[in-house]
Amino acid sequence: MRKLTIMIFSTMLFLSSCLPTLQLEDLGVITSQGVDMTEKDEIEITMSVLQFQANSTSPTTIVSGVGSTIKGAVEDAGQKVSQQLVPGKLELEIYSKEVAEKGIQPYLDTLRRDANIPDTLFLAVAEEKAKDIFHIKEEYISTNIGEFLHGLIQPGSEQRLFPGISINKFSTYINNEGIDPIAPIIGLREGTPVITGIALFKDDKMKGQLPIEFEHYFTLNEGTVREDLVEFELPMEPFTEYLPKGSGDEEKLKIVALIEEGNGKIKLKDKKALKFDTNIKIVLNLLEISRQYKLDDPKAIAQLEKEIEKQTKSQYEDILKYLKELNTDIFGYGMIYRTNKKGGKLTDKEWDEKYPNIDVTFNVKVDIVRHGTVNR
Amino acid sequence: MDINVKVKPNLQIRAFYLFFIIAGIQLGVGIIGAPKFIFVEAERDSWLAILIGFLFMCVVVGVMFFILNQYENADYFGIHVDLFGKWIGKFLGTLLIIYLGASFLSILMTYIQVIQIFLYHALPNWIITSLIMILVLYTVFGGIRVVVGVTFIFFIITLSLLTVLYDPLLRINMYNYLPMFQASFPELLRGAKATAYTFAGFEILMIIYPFVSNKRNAKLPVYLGLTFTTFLFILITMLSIGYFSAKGLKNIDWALLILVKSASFTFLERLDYIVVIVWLMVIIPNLVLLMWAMAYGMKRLYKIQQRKTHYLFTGIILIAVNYFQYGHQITKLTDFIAKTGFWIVYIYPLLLLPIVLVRKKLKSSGRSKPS
Repeated sequence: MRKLTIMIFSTMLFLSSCLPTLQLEDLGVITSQGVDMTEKDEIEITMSVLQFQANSTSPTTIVSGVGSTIKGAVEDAGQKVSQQLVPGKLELEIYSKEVAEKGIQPYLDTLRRDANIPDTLFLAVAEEKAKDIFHIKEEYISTNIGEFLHGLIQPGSEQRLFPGISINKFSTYINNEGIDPIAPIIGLREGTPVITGIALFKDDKMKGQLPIEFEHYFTLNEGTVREDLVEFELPMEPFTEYLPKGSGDEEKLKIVALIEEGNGKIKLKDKKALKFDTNIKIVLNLLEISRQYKLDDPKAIAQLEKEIEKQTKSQYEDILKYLKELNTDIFGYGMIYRTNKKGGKLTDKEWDEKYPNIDVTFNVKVDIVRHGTVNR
Repeated sequence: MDINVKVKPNLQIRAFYLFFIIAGIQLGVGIIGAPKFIFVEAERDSWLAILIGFLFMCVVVGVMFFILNQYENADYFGIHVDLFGKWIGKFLGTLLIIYLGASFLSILMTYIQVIQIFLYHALPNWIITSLIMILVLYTVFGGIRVVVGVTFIFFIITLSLLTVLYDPLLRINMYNYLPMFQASFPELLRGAKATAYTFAGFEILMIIYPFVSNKRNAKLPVYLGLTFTTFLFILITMLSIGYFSAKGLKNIDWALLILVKSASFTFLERLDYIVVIVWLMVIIPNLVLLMWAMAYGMKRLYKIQQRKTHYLFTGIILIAVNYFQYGHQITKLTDFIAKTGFWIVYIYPLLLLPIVLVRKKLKSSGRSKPS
């Protein structure tokens, strides 16, 4: 028995050395990468790489490589650094606008196929070239670029909403008939990367974009929004009777509120006529108002709610009109249509023809439940 | 060869442990990839298909209990010899042992493939196999009680893995389940058949039953074990359907592992690596129970020492794994096991039932004549 024990232990000891070792000092950990097209139609990858070397001044370096495939480009970049590049902590992949418009399906393949790449990876689109975002001066941002970019996306990801669009969510939406994905657009403002807009996709191809101010209209429809700031600019006329006299004369009433809870539900009203109802419910906590306002009067608050509802509704209608022009179904009306269809099957082509003809009524319900510590 | 087994009291186990034995052997590598196979057949109504599979399984287990209760203390090997005579009986017993060995190989190969995809791409099969076989041998040398103990402890430990599924649960898309009840009955049946590989394993009951000390209480834990597996299976399948798109799920080999990939903590970035490794604890009960059953069968049929079978089989496995280098070979092996398993595990007891009944009648009439 003792012989056997010794044998077992020695095999365990020797066999364990068969595993390849990966020492932290020898690794370059890719935290984010950008995908561009070169003029020769080759893929150019720019990566922000974390390295753990005692004598280096900056923890990250920017490396780039060119190849005809993603993995090939990473390999090419790997020859320019002394470490082995590993994708195990890849957090963000940015596609240049040009690439996104051509379709990003080919680039998603390796992300899903390679088990080493985490599913918590987020996708984004660059305003122009993806590599510009990586080649910024580090003085403008307080940390390294990889962490900074991930931080931009982070708030949404905790709620599993935009702008945290994970690889799995994106590819699920591509494969799902009757819903199309969105992604955040990252651009540079005064040398600092910021989220500037919302990229609207049709399957895997980017078709159009909207400014980031419209974010809430999409997140409300995506799921339950909690603790999110939202800004409204309302015309002044409907409020004149609730404004104390002599408190300024701006043309617009500006309001900042916190969405305590908000969500949207789509209902199919009439299957033949393609009539839908979208019911949006928002509970607001007022944080800032540009003029003195009689907030102690319930009627005044009701008036405020009414105006916000009116504005939100017209915004939604404008967005849908634009989406219909692009023929991308971001809100997922097709999905609702499919669930109400017999057999539960819907082809892309069928919905492409039907989508521009859908008729949606937006019912927005706004509740201002709190307005802070003061009344006026 | 004795038809009935005399088990020493120090080798007996309580009926309560049958729950862990049944659930432990059913939960293995099958459940990692199963959602895909059921979804391909039954689409959104996969849960119905699994329930049909469950009901059928309950009927089969009921039949198994009925057959077992016709004997004083017999198992498959004894019953075969009793019904078909020495030669055919032993032949059938040997076929059963070969089936157990093949499913052992398919479990091992599937797990090795998962390790090679997720962790170590170039690690040769035989190294992983040696490391796993050390554990397996170490366990089975301890005898039946150690085997059952390992099944029990690993089952309890691995239950905590379920908590990782909270993250995909929050991300599911409810509309993926609608509209319900669209699959036709044949589709549901095909879906139920696709559960065969995952649910297989409860045939161990026909081998381990003589070791149960309080047989009167054996039924409840077995049925509870089946229910538990079914519950888990439905949970994972429904999660996969909600989490992936319909088109996507049909192309995903390891749905459960991809589900786990989306969870991440600040102190633990890649949970999937941990799950892949901890999954060894899920398959070890599978492997040791099968190994024990094989060696025990050899002892019953041919009076070969169990230790010798262990060594011999380990040698065969160590050679056999090197022939599986391609993904499609493993898929083929698994398909083959799923197909033959369906007949051996599910249909065979039903065929055995009338024979046992006729035999019983003959016996009782033979006995009543002299009186």
